[in-house]
Amino acid sequence: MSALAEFLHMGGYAAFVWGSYGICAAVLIANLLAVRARGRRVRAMLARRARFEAAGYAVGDEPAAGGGVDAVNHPGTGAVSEVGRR
Amino acid sequence: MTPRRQRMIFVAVLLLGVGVAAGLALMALGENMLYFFSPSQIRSGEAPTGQTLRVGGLVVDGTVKRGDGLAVRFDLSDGAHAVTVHYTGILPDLFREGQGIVAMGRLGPDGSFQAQEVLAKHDENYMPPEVAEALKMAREGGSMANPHGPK
Amino acid sequence: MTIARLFHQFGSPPHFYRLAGRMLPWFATACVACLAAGLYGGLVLAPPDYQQGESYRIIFIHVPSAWMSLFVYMVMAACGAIVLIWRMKLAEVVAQASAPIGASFTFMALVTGSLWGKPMWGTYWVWDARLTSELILLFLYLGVIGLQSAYEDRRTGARAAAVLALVGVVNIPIIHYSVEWWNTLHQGPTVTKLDKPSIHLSMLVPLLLMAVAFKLYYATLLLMRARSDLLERERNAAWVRDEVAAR
Repeated sequence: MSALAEFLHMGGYAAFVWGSYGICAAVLIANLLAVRARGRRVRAMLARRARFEAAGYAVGDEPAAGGGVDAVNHPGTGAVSEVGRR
Repeated sequence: MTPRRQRMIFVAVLLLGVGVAAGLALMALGENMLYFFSPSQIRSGEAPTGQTLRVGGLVVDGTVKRGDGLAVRFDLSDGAHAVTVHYTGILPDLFREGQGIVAMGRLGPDGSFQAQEVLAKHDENYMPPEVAEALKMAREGGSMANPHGPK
Repeated sequence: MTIARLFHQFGSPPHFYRLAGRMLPWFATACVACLAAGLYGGLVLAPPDYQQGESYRIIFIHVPSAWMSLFVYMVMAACGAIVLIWRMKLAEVVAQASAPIGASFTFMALVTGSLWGKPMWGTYWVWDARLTSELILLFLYLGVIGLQSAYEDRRTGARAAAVLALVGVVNIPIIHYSVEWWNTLHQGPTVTKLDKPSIHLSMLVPLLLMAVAFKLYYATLLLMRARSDLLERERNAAWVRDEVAAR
């Protein structure tokens, strides 16, 4: 058996060893991607608010439409909007 | 008392209360938390007869006898006493003489143990085969104490 | 109160945001380096075990995951105490960011342990004290995650979750000492016992490297998540406007 095949074979425990490593890699990468996606969403939301404000509109404390990060968690926070801060 | 002090006391009381409750609960559970009995406990009658229980110990060297098919018989010892275990089925990869084993089953009237399931219990030592070999040689030669020996 | 002032300084969102931003690349790089070295050392360089052959290589992810499951919980519970007593926002953010990572590590410890148990012990799962208490830890994490988002007001949720996290602290010593207090199928501690670790150096070094890599992974994700959470929570603050404008 070649060295690589032997390495991959793991003395007959390939399914258990590589299964463990595979699952861990998947979980760690999924966590990383979730955190990155969250960061992107927040930055996009802030950029939208900045553009909005630059255009002369008032920006309250409402989650920006279509993807405020906590729109799901906190549907109530946007209800009472600040009166503009022009 | 400031609100912050009150909250501090709340956290302290919470931790203390939960800790005491858990301690009492664990003490009350006591024996029930044991995963298995030792052969000595079985010999002294501490283990219940006639119901499913687990017994753990080391497989005694030279007592493993294979019968028809997957049937196997071996003695399980904790150093002081031994119990004979009968089992039919697939044994885990780690099963061998001298290995720690936990068997689940019933105690027969003759004092032997009829197992339905046999699990291997390995120790917390990890080393290359050559090192294990060297340690074994040293132990047999009596020249060196085994730092990884059973306690 | 001087503690409060220290918290206030370190916990001041703009200060933390910038500090975290500077530290992030270092943590990430060190994490990848330790991970690469640990994997190479554990999977290629380390010899097979005298009893378990190649299957013991699961130890290099199983044990660090289990350590992290306890460590992250302790961080989360400490943040919970800070949240309850000092009402510090940064502690809320850290607790919220820690919970899913800790739950992931607990899940990894359980799954890898199960995949290791099948070939060696002969079973995927037993209800012994160690395995059961680790499973309870997973449920505690899930409960904390649930509470954090169960309230419309996020700060109320953070406080409710902090209470549960503190109650669950009692499980931590139980997990650690379960293998000593009771007969368990799980073996006793290898590295953390008081006399010298009963693991060969060629196996101990990659194990510790992997443990450091997992710690750095946690630190990296924590900083990333804390940064974006702070931006979001403080979206109306002047410093966030400056950060957005500076980009």
